[in-house]
Amino acid sequence: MSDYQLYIDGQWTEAESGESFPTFNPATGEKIADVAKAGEADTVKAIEAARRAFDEGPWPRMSGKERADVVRRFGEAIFAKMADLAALEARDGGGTVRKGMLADVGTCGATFQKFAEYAETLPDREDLPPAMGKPNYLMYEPIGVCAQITPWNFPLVMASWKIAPAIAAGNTIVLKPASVTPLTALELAKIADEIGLPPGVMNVVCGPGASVGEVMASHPAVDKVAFTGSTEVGARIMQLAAPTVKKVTLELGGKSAAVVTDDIDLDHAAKGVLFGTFFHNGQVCESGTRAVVNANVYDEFIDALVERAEKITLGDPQNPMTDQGPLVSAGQLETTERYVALGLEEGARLVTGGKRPEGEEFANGFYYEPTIFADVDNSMRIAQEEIFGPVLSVIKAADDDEAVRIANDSIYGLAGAVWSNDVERAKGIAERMRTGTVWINDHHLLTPDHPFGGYKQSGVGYEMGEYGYREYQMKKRIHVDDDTNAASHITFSMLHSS
Amino acid sequence: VRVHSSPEAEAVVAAVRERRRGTLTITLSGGCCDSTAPFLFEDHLVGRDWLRVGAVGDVDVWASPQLVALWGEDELVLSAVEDPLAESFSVETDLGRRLVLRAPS
Repeated sequence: MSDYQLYIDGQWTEAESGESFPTFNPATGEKIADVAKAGEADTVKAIEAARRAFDEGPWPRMSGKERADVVRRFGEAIFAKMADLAALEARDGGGTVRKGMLADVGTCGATFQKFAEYAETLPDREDLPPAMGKPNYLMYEPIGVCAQITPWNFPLVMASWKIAPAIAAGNTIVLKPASVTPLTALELAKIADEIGLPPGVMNVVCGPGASVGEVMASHPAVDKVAFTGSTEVGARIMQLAAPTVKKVTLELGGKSAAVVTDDIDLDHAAKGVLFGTFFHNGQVCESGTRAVVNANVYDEFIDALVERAEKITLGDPQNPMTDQGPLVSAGQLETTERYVALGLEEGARLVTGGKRPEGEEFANGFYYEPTIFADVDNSMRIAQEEIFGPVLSVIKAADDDEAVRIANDSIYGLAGAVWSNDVERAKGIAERMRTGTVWINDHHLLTPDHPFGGYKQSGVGYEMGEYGYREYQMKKRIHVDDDTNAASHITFSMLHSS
Repeated sequence: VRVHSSPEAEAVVAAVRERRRGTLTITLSGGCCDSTAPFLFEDHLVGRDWLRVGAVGDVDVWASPQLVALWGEDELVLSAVEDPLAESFSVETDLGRRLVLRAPS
């Protein structure tokens, strides 16, 4: 029997094929667990269960307040298991346990709490302007069955961004976590079971993106697809969803810029830019992997970056003193190594890192040193392609206008940062950046209250905040005319001449 | 940019053909957790301004004009590796394999 089974219609079940797949600890290479591997038939079963739960079950028909009580219990149960979930997330994905407590479990629990609050407090109907003098109102209703596909970088957080708004708004879901890091999403399914979420409201299937994901994105019984991952797969999902005109929200790639002006506090900006880049090894969609630095402070800022970067301690993610764990997989390590070699070929100047760390403790894990390239031209591949590893490209800008031009010279527009002691100057830069989120003197601060979405090829729609909640609702307009006298309806005269 | 085929890529395409009836297309693109990578899709539309940069047998390889400009004169080989946990929607992941781009040896 698998250690983790599929969660379909409120039941734990093996895959129909009987197949399973192993998941590994990226710090040691050790196997953690066997997970049931869904195929097309299992995925269809999960979609049908979600459809039944939506069409016939109590969940979409409950009031927002009733659903909020359940979603709030979900969040409380996550907080109650904080230490265990943080440790498991670190074991499965290689992030540090410090990140696990603060970012992973903390954000995950808070997201459930926030969407419980929205379900309880946001109006489910609103007045609209009258039409021909007759009252109109808007009803918010759940969309239906939502297929949700999450990536391996922040398994708990990404799952919460999908599950919480969807179920709070009354939808039913089929969630597919990434095969490299499926365990904590399956733990969330255990919580759903424990708190008494009705069967079929939340289903979790694990398996290949191709066979499982294609069914999820194209099955006629699915009403909405929500995906976080690569731009190319986002484009693929739009095509798969097109024949049945599903609603789609996508959160995709990024190559975000951190603009550094010449009036910075060096220590704060250097620490901040490094946090923006190297947090979780740069395996974060909103990472600020291009530092666009004003020429007046360029050299001294690079010195500050290098000095700070070399203090980042690599090691066992379970050790609370570790700053940086391993990359998630051998493949991700290889991608990083290839881009570093490419950066050197392209003529960028390697100022720190650029190799795996030495030592026995790193021998079996996918570790890589925080790596900084100076003298990067924004037209280089390392400045245009998303590496998803611990690699920062530092680009020189003559002034703020050039910095904005460089920041915007990307097919992506997900996030960005401005580092400056002059907030008004920073706002002038931030407001000209074609990107969905800009932090002034901070980075990575995503919260359940604030909308997150991409410009350009970084996405479609929004997650989080009220906008994110409303993405899981249809908006129905109802026009109420109490006058049943045909003669007084002047619009009828367009068809009826007598 | 020119993308050359390899026996490994041809084997992947042949194995996928056993399971898929539609027209196969290979794209070079990516972002986020996929970085930049090859994708093998069934019945897929590429951008109207995308350019053909190679082929694996009769399966064309396409890339966006931005990527073609970025990669310049690079010569690359499309190969494949065993990767049972690969994600990406690329259809060869069903076989526990993943297409990859490599420098020519």
